[in-house]
Amino acid sequence: MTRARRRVLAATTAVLTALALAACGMATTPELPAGDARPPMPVGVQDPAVLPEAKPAAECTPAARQSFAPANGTAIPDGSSMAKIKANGKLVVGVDQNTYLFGYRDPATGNLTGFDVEIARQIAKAIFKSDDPKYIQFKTITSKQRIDFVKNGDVDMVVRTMTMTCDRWNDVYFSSEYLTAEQLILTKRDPADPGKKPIQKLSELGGKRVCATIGSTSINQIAAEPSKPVAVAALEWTDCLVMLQQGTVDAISTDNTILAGFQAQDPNLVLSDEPIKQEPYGIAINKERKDLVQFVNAVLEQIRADGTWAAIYADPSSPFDEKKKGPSLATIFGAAGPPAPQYGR
Amino acid sequence: MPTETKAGPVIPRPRSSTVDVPRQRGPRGGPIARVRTVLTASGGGTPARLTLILAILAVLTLGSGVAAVSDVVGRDEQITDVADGNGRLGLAALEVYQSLSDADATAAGAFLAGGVERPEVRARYLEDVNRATVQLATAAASITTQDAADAVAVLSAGLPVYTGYVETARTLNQQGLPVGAAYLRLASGMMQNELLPAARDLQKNATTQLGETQDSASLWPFITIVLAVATLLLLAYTQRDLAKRTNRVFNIGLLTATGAVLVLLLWTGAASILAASHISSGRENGSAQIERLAEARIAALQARTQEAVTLIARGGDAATKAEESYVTQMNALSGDQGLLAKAVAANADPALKDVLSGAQTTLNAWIDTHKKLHQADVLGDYNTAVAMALGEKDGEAGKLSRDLDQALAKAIDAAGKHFHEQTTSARNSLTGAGIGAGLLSLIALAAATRGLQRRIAEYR
Repeated sequence: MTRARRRVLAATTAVLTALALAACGMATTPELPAGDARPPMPVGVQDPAVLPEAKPAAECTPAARQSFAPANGTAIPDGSSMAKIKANGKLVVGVDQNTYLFGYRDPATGNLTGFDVEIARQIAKAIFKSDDPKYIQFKTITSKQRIDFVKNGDVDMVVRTMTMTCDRWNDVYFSSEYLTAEQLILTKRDPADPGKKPIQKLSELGGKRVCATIGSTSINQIAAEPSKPVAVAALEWTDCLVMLQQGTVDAISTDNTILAGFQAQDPNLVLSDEPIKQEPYGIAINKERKDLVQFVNAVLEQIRADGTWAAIYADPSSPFDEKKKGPSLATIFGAAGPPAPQYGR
Repeated sequence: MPTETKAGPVIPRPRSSTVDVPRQRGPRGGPIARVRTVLTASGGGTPARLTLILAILAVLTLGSGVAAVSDVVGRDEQITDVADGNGRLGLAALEVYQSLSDADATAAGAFLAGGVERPEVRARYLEDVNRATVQLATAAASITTQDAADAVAVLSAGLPVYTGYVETARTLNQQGLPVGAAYLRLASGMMQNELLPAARDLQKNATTQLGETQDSASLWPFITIVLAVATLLLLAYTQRDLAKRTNRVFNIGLLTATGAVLVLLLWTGAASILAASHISSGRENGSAQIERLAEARIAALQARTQEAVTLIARGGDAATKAEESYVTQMNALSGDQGLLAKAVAANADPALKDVLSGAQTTLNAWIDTHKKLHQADVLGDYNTAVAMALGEKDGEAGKLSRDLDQALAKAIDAAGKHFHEQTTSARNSLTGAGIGAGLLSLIALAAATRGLQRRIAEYR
């Protein structure tokens, strides 16, 4: 082969290769990018949480647990707040419908049930001397709405896993304590060592992702924790549970009332044993209705004494029907009596 | 050109034996000047002049033929693309978008109903997922841009994750566990925030490409028209000129050529313009109307999803957010400037007039019902709110939203038929035009050559 011929051949090959490449370039479809395999986040999650300012809980006298002692028992004097409610034909109560075992819709019936809801029904029963459902109207409210709804008179009272704090006492009155909750930590069982003692303290969660709801006292506490966990804030507590199950957060820290409901829905979750702090629950009432607070305290005295409290605790979904025993606070927290009322305001 | 040629002495040409042939002039100036000189030669009818005319006629005739053939072939390719390429991608993308929206609304409704859902509701959800998956594969095979590829990647990767969450939510709900609602909200949120925007991107991308192809397929065949008209003018001029200079009124060859070019102009012009108008109609009352209607339908389905999610979220901030999304969707959909009103205003199909005005009435009734059920929910009458949301009786949201959806689906179907009909008609109107134009231009060339060669020969 002569040099010239070889050159021609080389040039021809180069041209043909270029043409072939150009043709291939035309024919190929655009490249599909690598996707994001991480699980999606629930709507409205703040990761990390956006916090205004973390304020430490104030100390106060009388203590946040103290309420007003009953005055007239469960009698309804003319002109009293109870008489007005009676004239209105119904007791309006702000509740939750999303917290398992406290205030939730039974998926089978669509009816509201839970410990808070049943306590509210007992108060309506004491006012109207009847447990006809028409005498009680539930308004489902968010945790953020609790104080405003009471202050504005949109509801007669709020029974919604509400901790009595000194700050809140400035805005509303509380009944005596009707349940003592505790702040705990919920984590997933360690797959490598299922019997391992669960995480007990926030100090063990440094660098870990910990979930609570936006605007809750828990999210502030997580963010203020010196061990520096990453606070992840969700719209709803159940969103925290989803994230824990999906592995997008490592722990949830809040009241055992909420966490116990989660544990009941997923046996692979473990609760810490030692309470981080106690959370006394009270019924919030407008500050202009001290008589209603005293009346509610009398009703609470009564149900503590006659076993109704214990029956609701044992089965809030159908407290008095032995045949329909569902999950209850008793099966989760173990047997417990009602907290002793403290008065002195 | 070397300057000495110009400056050199004029070489005398041998005189022709024919008497009527005028004196030949030497070339002066550039080629254009020379052509002008030949054409306007006072003697006229010289072989050189006629040869030049014949050359120009040949170029114009062949040019018209080539322009007409390539226009018809190109247009046919574009129409094929409208029908099978971009058109198919566009419709597949739209199907993905609609099926996913419907799946989301159906899953939310089924969840809200609680317990074991009715078989037809379950079937509808499964059909939606099935259709979305199949149409996604169809779309993936016809994508040509990176944006479309990105959207397809998000959809293909996300769809199985979404269905996984829906099934988790369904199972938990059937076991009576409240966390099921959170999974349903997670699935729906993923659909609203990831999958539907990707489906929307894919559809917009396909629509833009389809529109561009439709635009170029509905252009008038300007080059063919200009060339053919120029050919006709030159033929007319030549014939008049010849008639003046000789005693023959008609030149059969040139007359035949004129006829052929005229037929070529009328046929391919008419065919192309007809095809263009079919494509325009297929766009205006077909694909563009499908897009408007589908946008309205998708907004309605998303509003329906949010309506269900407000109740599934059972109060709380998630419910508030869902209600806000519902209001956003409804504001986009309803009102004088809303998506539905726009689609109704653009409708040109008299058969759909009643269907679409019925859809508007249904939409307004649904908005009223939603206000009532939302009020019931806020006031704690949850079961009434759920019953109104799911109800299949007159005036209940379940029936109203379904009626609206069916009316819009019917209108989309009709617009789709129109699109297909017009695209097919466009293609049919071009049948034979390509070959015809080619043959006619050759006939014209042959006839003109013959006609002029005779005249040229007469001078020899």
